[in-house]
Amino acid sequence: MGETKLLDVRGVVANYDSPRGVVKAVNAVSFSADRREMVGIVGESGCGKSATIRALLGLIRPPGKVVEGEVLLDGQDLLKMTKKEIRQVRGDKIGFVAQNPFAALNPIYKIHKQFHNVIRAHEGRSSSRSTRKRAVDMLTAVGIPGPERILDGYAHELSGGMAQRVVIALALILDPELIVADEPTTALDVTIQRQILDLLRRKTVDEGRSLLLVTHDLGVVAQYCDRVVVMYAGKVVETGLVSEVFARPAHPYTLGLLQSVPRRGLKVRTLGGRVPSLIDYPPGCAFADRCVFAIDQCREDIPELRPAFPSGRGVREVRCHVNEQEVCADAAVDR
Amino acid sequence: MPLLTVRGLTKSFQRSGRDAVHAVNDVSFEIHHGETLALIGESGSGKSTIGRLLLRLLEPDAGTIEFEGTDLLSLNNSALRAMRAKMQVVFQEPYESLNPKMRVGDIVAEPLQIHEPSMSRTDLRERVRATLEEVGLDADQAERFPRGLSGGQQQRVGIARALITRPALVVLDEPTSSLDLSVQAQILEILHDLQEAHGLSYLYISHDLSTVSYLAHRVAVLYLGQIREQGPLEAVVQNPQDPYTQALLAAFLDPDVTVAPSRSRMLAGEIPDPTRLPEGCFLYGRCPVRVDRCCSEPSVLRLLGPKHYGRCIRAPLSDEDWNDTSDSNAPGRFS
Repeated sequence: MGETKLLDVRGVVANYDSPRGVVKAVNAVSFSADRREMVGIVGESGCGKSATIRALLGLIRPPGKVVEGEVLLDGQDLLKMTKKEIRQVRGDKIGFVAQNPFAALNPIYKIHKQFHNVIRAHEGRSSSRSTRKRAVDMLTAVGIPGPERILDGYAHELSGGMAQRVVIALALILDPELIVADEPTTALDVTIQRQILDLLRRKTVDEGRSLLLVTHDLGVVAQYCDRVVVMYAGKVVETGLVSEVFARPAHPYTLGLLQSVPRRGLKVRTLGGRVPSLIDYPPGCAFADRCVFAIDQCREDIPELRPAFPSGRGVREVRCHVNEQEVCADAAVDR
Repeated sequence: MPLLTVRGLTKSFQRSGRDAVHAVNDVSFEIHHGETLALIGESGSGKSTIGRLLLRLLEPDAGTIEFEGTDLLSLNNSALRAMRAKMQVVFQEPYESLNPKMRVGDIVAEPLQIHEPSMSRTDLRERVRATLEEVGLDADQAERFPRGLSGGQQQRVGIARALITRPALVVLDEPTSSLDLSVQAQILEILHDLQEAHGLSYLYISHDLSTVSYLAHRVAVLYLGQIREQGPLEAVVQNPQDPYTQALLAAFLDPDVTVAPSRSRMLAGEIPDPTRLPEGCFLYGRCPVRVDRCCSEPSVLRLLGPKHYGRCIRAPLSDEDWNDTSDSNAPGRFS
């Protein structure tokens, strides 16, 4: 808090046309990210996490379309930009780190060529020597030993952890203000995961950036993120500080996710069913059919985001008709 | 007598014109009736290869595998095939491991048709129905094709197929790693209930500590195709005695924000090339607590506590041993 919001996503709606009807992949999604802040976006597959990221990067292509909303980066609406302008913003102001580093890197270019191409595309003509110098500095900054040797090699020669460091270096080479990372450690081994997350955290907090981290791993959010956005069926169902949301979940879906983590000696609480089709959106709350707290109202009225636990720190919101005290009392039973 | 006894299992993969990959190096363990042994390790640790060797989907270079007192490696093809009714496997990718052109009922019935060819159609249909119900599928789903099912339902089909011959041992090769958290919890619960109902033994292959601690009775930690530490779950998880196990445990990010984050136990670098195995201790190159004699003394498993074996010559390791080495302690948000 305090400083200005770097990223402010307001009421973004993105639909995909399909033969069976309109898929409401991103359904009035709003959230923000401050500088020096890591924001986690969590939910199961099909909840709209990746579609949200695509919408704010201007990467939704036909048959998909962003039909409403604003994505303000430093006050500028990315959704109003032309294709050319948004291409400039991606890279200059937003760096992207994908799940699979080997899909993100070009297999037939040497690593140096890839740095060179990125720099040239955004800054115009630059000498191979100057781009090489910058690439060496950046590779060193992300903890790659022997950067000179890496630059003259190809992606397939790298281990998974090293390849992801190279992707991060490429994402940071133009000094963006926002880093968007989509499951950046899912494809990596656990002993490497923390090295990469520590690196991302340093690059965010120490250097005054914001980071959006899309993940299904609640442990990553709990231990690394400052705030969390929980998504379900294309909507934000809960937001707040990680320390508060995970300790006292206000939405039954958040509670269900937390209870799905298997622990010794505790019976896993299973969240029955699955994410509903985003075409035939149910009349009430999309989670009602899986929800143990559901009341009649949940199947009739669509809940709006409302403040939860108003006495807590920071802004806390939940999209649920049920009293949050009742939900978090159930979380306490486990401890 | 244990159900399964493995001694000195070794497997290299020869590659034309290149060095051989030493995937499994002198691995020994036992699995008792009704017990789950977890093989935990990162990619390249040899855990899936061991699963395949047990089922003789691969032939080992050296070692013995005894199942119910029979030397599996001495069996001819027809005897091996008969034995396989008692040893089944569930694979990581449910969809990839189901024939897309077969109906669910036929997929589940197939092993029984092979192993009990004289069974009547009525009995066969009844066994398929009962097995599908046991894994939480409706009998009418027998008519469907795999692609029409969700990932969780597909994996239930994979489990039903493994169970229908009433095996004594099931190799579970990362059965939930491609599933969403809530679906993962459902599958784990089914596996747990099936074990209790039928006294099944599991070899549970995983890299995920939370599912291991839910399902396993004993744990073997693998690194570069070698068991580094082995023992009862509580001993290995609560009192790990190998630097690799300690690092693996510390890398687990707990979603419970009320739990203090684990102290950093980071290993340097990444898993070395399995074509050139290190001299002495395999962990030496990455180990922050190494001393000179780690290279010269033979690396053997020795008894550290009741049924608890470890390879580190410095065990028991104290916090001070690590304090001398680490520069950072808590992860992310807490640093």
